[in-house]
Amino acid sequence: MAWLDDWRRVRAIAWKDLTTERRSKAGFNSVVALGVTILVLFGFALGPDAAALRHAAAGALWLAVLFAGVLAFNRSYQVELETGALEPLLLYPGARWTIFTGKLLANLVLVWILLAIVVVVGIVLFQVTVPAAWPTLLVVLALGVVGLVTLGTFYGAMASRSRAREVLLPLLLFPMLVPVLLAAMQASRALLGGDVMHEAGAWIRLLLAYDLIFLSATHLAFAHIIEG
Amino acid sequence: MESSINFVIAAYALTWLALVAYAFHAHRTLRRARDEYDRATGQAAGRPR
Amino acid sequence: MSSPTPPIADSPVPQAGRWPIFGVFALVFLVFAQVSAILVSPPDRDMGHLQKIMYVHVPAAWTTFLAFFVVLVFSLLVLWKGRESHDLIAASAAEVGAMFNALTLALGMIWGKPTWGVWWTWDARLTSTLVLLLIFVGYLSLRAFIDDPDRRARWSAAVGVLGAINVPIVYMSVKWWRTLHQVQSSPSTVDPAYVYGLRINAVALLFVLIYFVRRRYEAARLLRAAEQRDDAIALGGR
Repeated sequence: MAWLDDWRRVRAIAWKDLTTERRSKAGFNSVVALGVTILVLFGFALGPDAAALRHAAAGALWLAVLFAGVLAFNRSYQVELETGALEPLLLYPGARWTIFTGKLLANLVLVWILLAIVVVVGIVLFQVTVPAAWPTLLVVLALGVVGLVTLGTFYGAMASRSRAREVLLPLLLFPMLVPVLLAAMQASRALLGGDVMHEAGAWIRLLLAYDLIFLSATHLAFAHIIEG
Repeated sequence: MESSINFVIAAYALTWLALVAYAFHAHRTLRRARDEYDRATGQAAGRPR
Repeated sequence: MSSPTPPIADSPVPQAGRWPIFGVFALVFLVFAQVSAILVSPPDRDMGHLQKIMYVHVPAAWTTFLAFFVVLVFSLLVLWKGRESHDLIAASAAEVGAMFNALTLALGMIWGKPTWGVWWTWDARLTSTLVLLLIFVGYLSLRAFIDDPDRRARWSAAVGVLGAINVPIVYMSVKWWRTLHQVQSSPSTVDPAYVYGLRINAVALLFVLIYFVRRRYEAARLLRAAEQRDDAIALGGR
């Protein structure tokens, strides 16, 4: 049962990362606080007209999650780098991609929590009325975070081990995220507006395709970037 | 028509500016690399620095 | 975690050879291509002289895509075979490609201002070309910030491949974004003189591309060879 061993390894790494975050809450709490702060700043940039705020809410939400999430992706490898725990982790038997999947799962949980808080605050601050199609909106939010976290975890593995990681991660990541952000923003905005044009479906399919393509591509490429 | 000629001239001028500037950059890099290589291989032959 | 790559210093360093002559030939041929294209083409009825910008803009765009295709192919080769020379070719093509990419965008703006009245519009091709430039600026920055050559080769190869995969996705998504709101107009010009002008200029820029990539590769190989000699001496070998 090789796949069962792989899954056990994935779960162990995800659990280890989440436990580290739970024990030192200060790090994740600051990330959430930053996300909320960015939302407030967007309010100043776009408000105070209620209609303009409501129109821009979807874009502001995603950008707040993106900017705060970048910090989480760099932190994801920081603990191992500071304590020199990455090399022992690589010496364990088993496929290398399990390390990536484990970190990916941990980051997914963290960014979903971040997104949930940012969305609730955003709904209040931007005076958004929750649409009737809110289950579809949840699907969009979930799929968007998968795309964001997949590439964020992948590029974080490189950027956090280079000089100038603060600037390198956004520089590499943001252009790559153009399609997923565009699709997530447009789908969210359409759904918040009642989806009168029936365009949300096309964007959700694009999100799904994007997630699948980059989940496979990053899993294939990870073995090449982790050793050494 | 007069102003459209200006845009055409600007486009061709910009193209040549970019190509010539890049050619200078490439040659400077190449010259430095060759100097560096000569220094390193001269060192290997046992010559004092 | 040592590298399986054989040291590149063992293979002979590329020589300048007749490449300087080829460089002069490429630039002279480009002059000839531009002059002949301008002389052959009649002034376009709608666009006046502006159509002549296309003879540099369109071939520059093709050259950009060709350069980044070279990056994709050699990045895949790096991931597959791990040869350092492939990495240096990919890096050389990326730098030259970024230059052509910036030039393409600037020429597009110079054409767009008198034609559409704006320097920029969020059209699918324009936007995806800009995103492409940003991706490869990231690629080149990553290379600048990593010192270990083996790691640099594998990481930038991964970034190059993912970046290339992303380009059609960006194009498609921006196209949807635009077409969901407004219909795109697509003017088609199929004047044979126009086609001749585009083709001969594309060939000329292809020569320029080959020349630039070759010289950048030469410089990169020389630098690596020098570094490896220094390392060998520092370790007390040879």
